[in-house]
Amino acid sequence: MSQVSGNLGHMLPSLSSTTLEVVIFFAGGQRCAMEARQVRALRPLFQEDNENYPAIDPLLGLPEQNKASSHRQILTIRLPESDVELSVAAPVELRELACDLIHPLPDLVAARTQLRGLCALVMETDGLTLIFDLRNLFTDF
Amino acid sequence: MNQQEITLDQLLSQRREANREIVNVEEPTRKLVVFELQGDWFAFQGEKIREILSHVDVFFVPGCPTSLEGVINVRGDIESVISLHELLQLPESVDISSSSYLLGSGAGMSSTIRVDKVVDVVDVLLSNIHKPPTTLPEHLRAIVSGVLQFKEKTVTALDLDRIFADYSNGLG
Repeated sequence: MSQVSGNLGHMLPSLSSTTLEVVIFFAGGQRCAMEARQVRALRPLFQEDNENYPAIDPLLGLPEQNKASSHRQILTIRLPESDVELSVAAPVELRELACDLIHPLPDLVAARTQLRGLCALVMETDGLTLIFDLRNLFTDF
Repeated sequence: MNQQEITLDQLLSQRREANREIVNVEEPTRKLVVFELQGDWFAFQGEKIREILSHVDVFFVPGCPTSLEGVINVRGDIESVISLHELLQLPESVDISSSSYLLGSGAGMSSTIRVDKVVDVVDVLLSNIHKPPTTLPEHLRAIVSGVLQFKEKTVTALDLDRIFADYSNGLG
């Protein structure tokens, strides 16, 4: 008879040796990120399109900053039903984050935050990065 | 100097006598972490406080109430930092550079609590901790578990389980 161990930890890769690919962007003056697999595309925002794309900042509950189109780009967010295009402040970068730097929200932050979709924090020597999961934000969008 | 002489027998006899006078009373005690907020003294049960920290870098998290001051890194883990001033209806501290941070657990949650100063960590006889007076202000009734006298000051013992539970539900 085969035995099934109750501890599955040995089957998962060590967090210190794994990375998560994220898209880093700035919203409300704060460094933010989302999983790269939730992003389909990134392209420049042209002046004539400035009004056509909602900014990501208020969607997340952050104040909108740097509205000039020359400093914004369009992120195409991959969703199950249909993609959504949002403008974000540049620069936007793709980055591999060491998984052991990524922490779930502390209990009281999870309970009291007004930010929508905030799901994790990254604390580095140069500051904090807010990680968002956008998948559940678009039901009323 | 006139030094009185004593024999070994006398010395041992005195010691035995002294030891007989020590009566071991097994009275239950409770460890308390006593701290100061705006000149008032409060306490948490020692078993609820895992660590006392000082000189920490607090990282602001937007979108949280002002009493949730941010997060800190405690040896690789991220913990929130809350201030109890609003909950206790005390004026906010002006200078927080000398604050201490109590890393506490309660109601299945953990967080650090910023306090003005840690006064002491003491074992107090349970019989010296009294029920909260009925005259306690409304905002304190739910979170105060007892009162005691310590170093000639009144210490208000707070219920950390209740504080964390109420805080997570929007209080403070």
